Amino acid sequence: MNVFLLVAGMALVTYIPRLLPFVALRSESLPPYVRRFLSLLPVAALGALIFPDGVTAVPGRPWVSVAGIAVAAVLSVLRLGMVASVLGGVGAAWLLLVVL
Amino acid sequence: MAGFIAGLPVLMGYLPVGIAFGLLARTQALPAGLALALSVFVFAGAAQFMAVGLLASGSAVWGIIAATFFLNLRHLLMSSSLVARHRFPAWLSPFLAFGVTDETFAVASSAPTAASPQKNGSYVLGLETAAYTAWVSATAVGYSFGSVLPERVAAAMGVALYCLFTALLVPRIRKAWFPAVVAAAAAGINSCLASGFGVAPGLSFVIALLASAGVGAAVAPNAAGKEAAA
Repeated sequence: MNVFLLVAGMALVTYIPRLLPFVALRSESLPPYVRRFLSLLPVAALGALIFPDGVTAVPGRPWVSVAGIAVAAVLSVLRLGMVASVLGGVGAAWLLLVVL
Repeated sequence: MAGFIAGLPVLMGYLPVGIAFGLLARTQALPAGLALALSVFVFAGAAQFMAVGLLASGSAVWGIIAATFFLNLRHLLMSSSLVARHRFPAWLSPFLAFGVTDETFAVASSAPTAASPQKNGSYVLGLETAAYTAWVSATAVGYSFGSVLPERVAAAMGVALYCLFTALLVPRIRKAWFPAVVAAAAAGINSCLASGFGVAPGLSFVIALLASAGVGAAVAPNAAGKEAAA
């Protein structure tokens, strides 16, 4: 298996889409619809990234995964910050693995 | 610099996720060089985890590359969103583009637009540098030392990436109900397509993104449609 090809291929197909808007999209005056669309992208992306893959985060333990994410959500709602959310979620998942 | 400080939460979020990746690569018997090269040259957490999984199940190289393309296609939209809001120095753009990830995008798109392209550029560069150095070093640490972690700790660390996404999402949906609906729609569409219809993961992501943000932008109530809501 050609490792160089794999890394180079993945790097290219990742980098080029990231780069294209920087070099191609020079227009400052985007139509309002496009602006709204682009501004909604972060939340849409995050939603689609968390589910469904988050459920399989801990191998073989979907409910532990969901619980970890739920704890992270609660900690975020409490405005405790990213670090607390990540550590809290992982900690909760670990605790459940110990107990169950 | 201000960008680097803004990137500290991402840096700290990336540490457990990067360690989890390094550890996963090691347990799947990937060579150290490959694990590190993926973090150094691809710099895309979700895609790297996916690649390790695909390698373990014997996928061909071209299949993994194609899957990576679709999975990371959302970064095209993220870069577009950034460029729409900020101006950056032309010479810096190739470097800034490299560091566009889900997390750096989420933080960068919350940043106020600075007066000059220089300031915008150095802010995002600082942010991405914090994220990148954390990601690469955490990969190395996870690969080298991850095996000293007890099995349950290592398993629990699998949620780290999703907790990071959650921490980025919550502040954005607490202010207004409409973004929450869009996020839920994207999650629902992605889940249906990937699980229910067996659509390839990267492709289902992009469809879910385009559909939810596309329809959302069309029907957005004025208050939630403002760029500030992003």
